[in-house]
Amino acid sequence: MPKKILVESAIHQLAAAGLRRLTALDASGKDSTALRCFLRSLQFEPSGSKFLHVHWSIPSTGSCELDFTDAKFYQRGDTALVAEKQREAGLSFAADSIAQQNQECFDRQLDALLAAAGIALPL
Amino acid sequence: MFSQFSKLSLARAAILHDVPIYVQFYITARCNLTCKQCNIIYANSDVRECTLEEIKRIADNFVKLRVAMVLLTGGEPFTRQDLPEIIEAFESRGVHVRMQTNGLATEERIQAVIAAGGRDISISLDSLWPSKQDEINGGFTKSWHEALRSMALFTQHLPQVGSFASLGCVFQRDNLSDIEDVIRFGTEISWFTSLVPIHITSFDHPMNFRTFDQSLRWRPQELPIVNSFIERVRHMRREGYLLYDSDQYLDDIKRFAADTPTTWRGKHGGVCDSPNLYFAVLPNGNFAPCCDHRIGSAIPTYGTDFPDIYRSRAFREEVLTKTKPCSGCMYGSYPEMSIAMRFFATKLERVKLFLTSPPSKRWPMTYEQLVTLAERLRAEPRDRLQLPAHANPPPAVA
Repeated sequence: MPKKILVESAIHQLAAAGLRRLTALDASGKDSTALRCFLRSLQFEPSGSKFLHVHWSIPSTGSCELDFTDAKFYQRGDTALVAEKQREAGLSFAADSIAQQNQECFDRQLDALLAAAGIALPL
Repeated sequence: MFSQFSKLSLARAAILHDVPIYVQFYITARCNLTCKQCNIIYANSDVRECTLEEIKRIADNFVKLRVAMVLLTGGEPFTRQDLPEIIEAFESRGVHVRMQTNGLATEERIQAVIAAGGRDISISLDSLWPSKQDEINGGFTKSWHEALRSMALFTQHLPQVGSFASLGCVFQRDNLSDIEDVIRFGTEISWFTSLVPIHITSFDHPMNFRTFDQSLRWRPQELPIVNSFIERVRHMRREGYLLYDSDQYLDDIKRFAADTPTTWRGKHGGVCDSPNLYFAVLPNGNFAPCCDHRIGSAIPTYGTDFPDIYRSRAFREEVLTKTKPCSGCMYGSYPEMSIAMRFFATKLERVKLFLTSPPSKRWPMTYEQLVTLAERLRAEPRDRLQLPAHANPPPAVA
């Protein structure tokens, strides 16, 4: 059966949020082992088109639901109409605010996930 | 096929290794398939797509940087309505375009991209068995037939002289038995085959193109079969079959499958040649070192200052923070570009292939002819490699 594209996108963007957090920990010389092990233990299950049920087994078994309704995926730029919309939204020839908002959305979801799993990262 | 501009860039890169001759431009993340081995459509889902106006600026900057060739990829490039205009933007400036597609395109659209100057096409084909291809492509139906229909249309509309056609074939557990037949098929229709071994990563180490699906990993007991396979396709190439891959690249596929270090970066201190010889562009126009990595800074390649940024020391150092720790890829084009530019024997092979004596083409062909050919080749009795039946789980993540 074909994969659910929005769900798979959300899974990847959550992984990317995890990588940003790992990179920040490593760059500041702090221990990232707990986060790394936790991320490796994650399992996903679609829960509607804009929600994701996440299960983990480290540090203990648990699960929660993540909401990615704020994410904007696959914003087109290939027709005169969508190009005009991009211009009106101030996106054309400018920093990609869509990407920035998506990043913030998944950073928040990662925070929610870590809180649900009881993982406190070193400050 | 290559413009004078592209040839000069290639010649300079072959000597000085300081021209970004090859750029992979991910013009969209949208795709009408969900192939098992591909994660890039999800990784690039978060950014907007460039507009045509921005792409024309990117093309201007590519001329300033002496880019010889741009690969238009995705997602599926044909999902962009303005694909012909994008091709025209690069080709009219002398930058050679290679189009990569899964083949889901109408005749009208294929004619339009050729009319826009597209002369170089790569279509994904992983098996001569329709059901196998459909399964690899994510469980869609008719994707194999659509790919063959498009191949036929390209042979009907591309000029025989000054064009290049190839099959992109992912080498993985699901199709190991079928790839030799794909190479035979490609050879009979004058299309080269290029192999890319499957790339897999783990959730704590996302690399944009690489799937998280651990079940696709080679099992240790399968590695001798991988090695046999590589020797067999190497032998086929020496017999005249149209396999594009160099000897060094084929050897590195064996190493990559076994999770051991590859050699193609050896003449550059164990680091790839991004951004000196190649780089990638995200759908929103931002620079990326390759399909697997992004840098921290958002650097639009359409910016008027991009050529200056590209040459700056700070930019080079930022890219190095990604390329230096990278364990290396086997995505075909990046390794083959490094090998062709840094290893003399391969360099000569490429000059011969593209400039002095490209193979003649037995075109045009119809869809029905291609289907009949595929049916014949896959039915021929042959000693085909098979993976052993086993119940072992995939190896643990390194």
